[in-house]
Amino acid sequence: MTTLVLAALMAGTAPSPAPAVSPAPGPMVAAVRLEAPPEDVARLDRYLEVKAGAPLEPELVRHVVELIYATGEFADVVVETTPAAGGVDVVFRPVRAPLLAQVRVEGDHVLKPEAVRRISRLRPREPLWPARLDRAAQDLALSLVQRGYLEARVTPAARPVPGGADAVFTVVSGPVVRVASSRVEGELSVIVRIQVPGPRPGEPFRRERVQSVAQRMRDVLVGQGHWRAAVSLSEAYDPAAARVDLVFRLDPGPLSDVEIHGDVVAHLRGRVRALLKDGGLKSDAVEEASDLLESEARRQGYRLARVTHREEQRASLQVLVYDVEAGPRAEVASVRVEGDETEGLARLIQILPGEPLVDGEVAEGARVLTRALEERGHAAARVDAEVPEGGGTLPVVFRVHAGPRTRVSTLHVESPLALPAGSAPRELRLREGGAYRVTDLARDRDTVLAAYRNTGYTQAEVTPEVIFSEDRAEAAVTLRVRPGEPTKVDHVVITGLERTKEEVVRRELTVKEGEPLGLDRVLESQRRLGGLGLFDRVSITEMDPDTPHQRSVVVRAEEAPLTSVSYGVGYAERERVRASAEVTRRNLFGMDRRLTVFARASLQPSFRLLTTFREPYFLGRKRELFFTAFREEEHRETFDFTRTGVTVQTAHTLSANWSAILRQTYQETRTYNTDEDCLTFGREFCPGTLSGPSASLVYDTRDDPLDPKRGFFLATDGLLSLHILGGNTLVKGFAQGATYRALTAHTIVAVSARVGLARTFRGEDPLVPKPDRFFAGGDYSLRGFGVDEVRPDGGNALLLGGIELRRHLAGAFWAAAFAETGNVYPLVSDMALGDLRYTAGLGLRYKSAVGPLRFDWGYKLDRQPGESPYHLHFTIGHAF
Amino acid sequence: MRFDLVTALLLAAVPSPAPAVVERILAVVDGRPVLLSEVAVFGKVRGQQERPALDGLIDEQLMYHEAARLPQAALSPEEDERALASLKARVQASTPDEEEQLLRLAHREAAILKYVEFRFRPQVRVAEEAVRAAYDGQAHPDGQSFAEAAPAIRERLAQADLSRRIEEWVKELRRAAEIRYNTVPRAGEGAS
Repeated sequence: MTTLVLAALMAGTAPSPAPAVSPAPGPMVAAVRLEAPPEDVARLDRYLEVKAGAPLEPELVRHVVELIYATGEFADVVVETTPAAGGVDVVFRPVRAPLLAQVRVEGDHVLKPEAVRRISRLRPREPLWPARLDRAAQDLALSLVQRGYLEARVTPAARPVPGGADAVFTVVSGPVVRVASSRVEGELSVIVRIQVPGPRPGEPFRRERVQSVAQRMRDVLVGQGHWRAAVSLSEAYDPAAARVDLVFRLDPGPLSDVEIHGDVVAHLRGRVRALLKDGGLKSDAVEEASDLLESEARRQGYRLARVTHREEQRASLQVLVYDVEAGPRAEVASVRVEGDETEGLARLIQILPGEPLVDGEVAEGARVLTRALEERGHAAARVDAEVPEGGGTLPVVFRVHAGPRTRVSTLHVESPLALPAGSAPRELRLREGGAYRVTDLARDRDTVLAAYRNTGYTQAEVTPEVIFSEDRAEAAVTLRVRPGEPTKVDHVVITGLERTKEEVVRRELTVKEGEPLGLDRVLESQRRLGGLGLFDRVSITEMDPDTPHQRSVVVRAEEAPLTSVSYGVGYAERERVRASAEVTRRNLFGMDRRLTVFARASLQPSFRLLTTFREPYFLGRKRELFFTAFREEEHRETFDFTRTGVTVQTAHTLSANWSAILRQTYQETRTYNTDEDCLTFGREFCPGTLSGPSASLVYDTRDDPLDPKRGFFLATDGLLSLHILGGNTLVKGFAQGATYRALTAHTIVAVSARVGLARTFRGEDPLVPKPDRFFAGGDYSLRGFGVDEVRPDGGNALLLGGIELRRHLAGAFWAAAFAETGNVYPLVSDMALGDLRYTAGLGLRYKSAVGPLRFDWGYKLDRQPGESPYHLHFTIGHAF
Repeated sequence: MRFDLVTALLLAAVPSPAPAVVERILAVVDGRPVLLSEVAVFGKVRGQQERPALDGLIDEQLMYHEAARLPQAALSPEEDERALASLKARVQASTPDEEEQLLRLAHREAAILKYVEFRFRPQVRVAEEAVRAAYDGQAHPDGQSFAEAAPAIRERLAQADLSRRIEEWVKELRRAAEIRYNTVPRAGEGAS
């Protein structure tokens, strides 16, 4: 090695002339072949850049080898050429790496395979290189030693199996070493005071336990005042008997204490003692305590406070003494901001007359004022804090040297290359005619730089140039861009996939082959892959590039477990014991498809079974399709019911604010063993069959769907149920709109309108079946009424309007006042504005993590005979 | 029929051309493959066989990746050109690919040297006692006095000290690196 560097040194200093180079081209490629199993050939073919009919370029061959190796599945890629007619035949032969299939344990059964996997940290599909296996074996042996197998030996091996290799660990545990004896050495007087039970003879030797005993002994000694106590542990192991003798040697050190001389900080004695005890009276702890005392004195206005420390021996006691020379105390007499452009600055100062004078706070005040002036465009602003020396009641003066206010006269981004419209930098902070601020200039530089780098100009540089006018009133700003050469994505290599198809990863990537390599694309790709929920870990890195203009990207994904199971057991008064379980199987067929089965049952006979299948890419685009099937049965005291249904639904995001949902539903509800009207026990139990298509269109600009403060929400739903499809014959539409505006910083107004219309046709009863009717009254509409009270039988038409004012009170509490109107009509033709009902009320909101907890009192403004005057509601979420 | 059989036998008797291995992975250093063609060019430059050239290239890559982290080891275009000229003065490229590889090699070597000059050269110290001891320990048939011989001895000792430091550095780099050979490891060394 030395010769290498020295030879190069020599060559660098004494060059000799060389003949001119006349490079020769490589032979022509007659044929190219990838010698691998068919499934590998299909996957690796995309990396085979060497093509028949072109000259054989070694650089290209190297690149192919590197790309295939980057998949992480191969130990070697052998490339052979054979002379053939018209050139050479080229064969690429990847040699499989020993990828981990399973972890196996042989020999003594003292470790379970799961424990081995955890301790060795071997990941699925990780290559079992000898160094990695050795490291895993060492970790296992160490773990066994910690468990008392002091002679444990673990031998690793990679045993080839189809598709990879098993990591086989052969464990020779040796005997479990037991404690032969355990004794404590040290001064007798100290030993008798230690009441920590040590390991008992005969018990298995656990190093962690023994060390924790030693630590507890030290804690006891420290608690008794021996702050410098040390407990050392020695182990004498007898291999013949598999026994270990333990000796805990106590070195209590002197009894210690601390004294603080200085009244102003005497109250900190407890904290200082704790600090010194924890730190074992070491120099770091001693200095930290000193700093604590000094900063506390200064905080009280003792500007010149000084703390020194010394040790004193008093009989058997070693005392650490802190001498605090507080000096005179200073107090703020007045605070003034003087100089030019001082308007509005005084209120930024946090220092108040009568408070202790703290130099650090004064300096911070000057910094705050300087920043404020810079924000106003005084680029050269300076603020000096003037405070007389010493103690007493002192005036604080901030002397402002604002300098001229600088405005941006011109602002240019100069680049030899303009970015495409969609990639151009976002709006800049600096603008012509606006204030010139250095902080804005720095941000704008970063913005322009990010825009170029995100467009693939990874070597881009942006240099700000500012030319000030003579009086510094104007600044001509130029952001000069040197974009450099663009970097494009050569290949995207995917590695780490076991079950997932490469296609699933590739379709999520915004980093595309042949397109610019931008940082934001890398981050977005990483975010999307993480969002799939299929992987425990995803990383996107660039392959070591030799050519700066084209880089290959390696996407490394570590797959998460496929199946998750959750379950719960509960008790409810009616159902008594209730249990539920949910099993989700992800990534079906390696295509990110998901199947979820949920089941719930209770002792009061009832059960619910729900199965959902999710297809993430419907019709070749990122569009989710859900198939849901359910069956529900319940046996109650007054009735029994069953509900069966199937739904197919797809949701599509049309733009940032628009989305559409299409669904096909079949739902059948049957109620048995009752003569009562179903509405007496809940409209959700009313019998009926719904079968047909439905669609929803949603426009949503709300800032927060749970608790909106601004924005607009519009949703329309349409449903058609047909007899020919097995359902009742009806058509139903519902539209709702709501808008939210902040009237002041603490007041929000929300306005809502809802319209619902339904009808039957083909000669059926004009009233739609009960479960499909509209209802009003309750937590979410006309809050002066109870649930569905406005017209208990429901109707084919609904009109609702409301306004609500929300006012912040304090903390998480808000108050509300609302007024609502609306009604439910039997038929659409019955709708009349003269029949509207009116309610108003007051409410209280508490913002919780799950949404606003809402308490409302609603009052009927047009109470009719037999109606209660008001209604109370407690629920989660806003009414609209 | 007989003709076909004879033809087949004749064809079988003609040896088919043997395939030549033009590329493969000889080792992997911290996840980066070291390729046969790179080792071949490196060996050509150093005048070494495959195995020592492979070790030399691994060392060089380890040193370069360490050096590349330090801004002080960054090369100016002029330094790059000088390094290439120096290397081309020693080795002639026979193919465009070799030319390209030499360019990269020259860059790596120059960056390493710059790093060495920055990091290790200032640490090199030669004590006067060591110079005296070296002078006393060697014969002087030409009757050269200590004062005359001292500068050359001092330079030689400084070079030796620098070499020792570089060797230590490389050992340290090798210890920290994950190196896996696809070929037979050298004597006394386990493949990893």
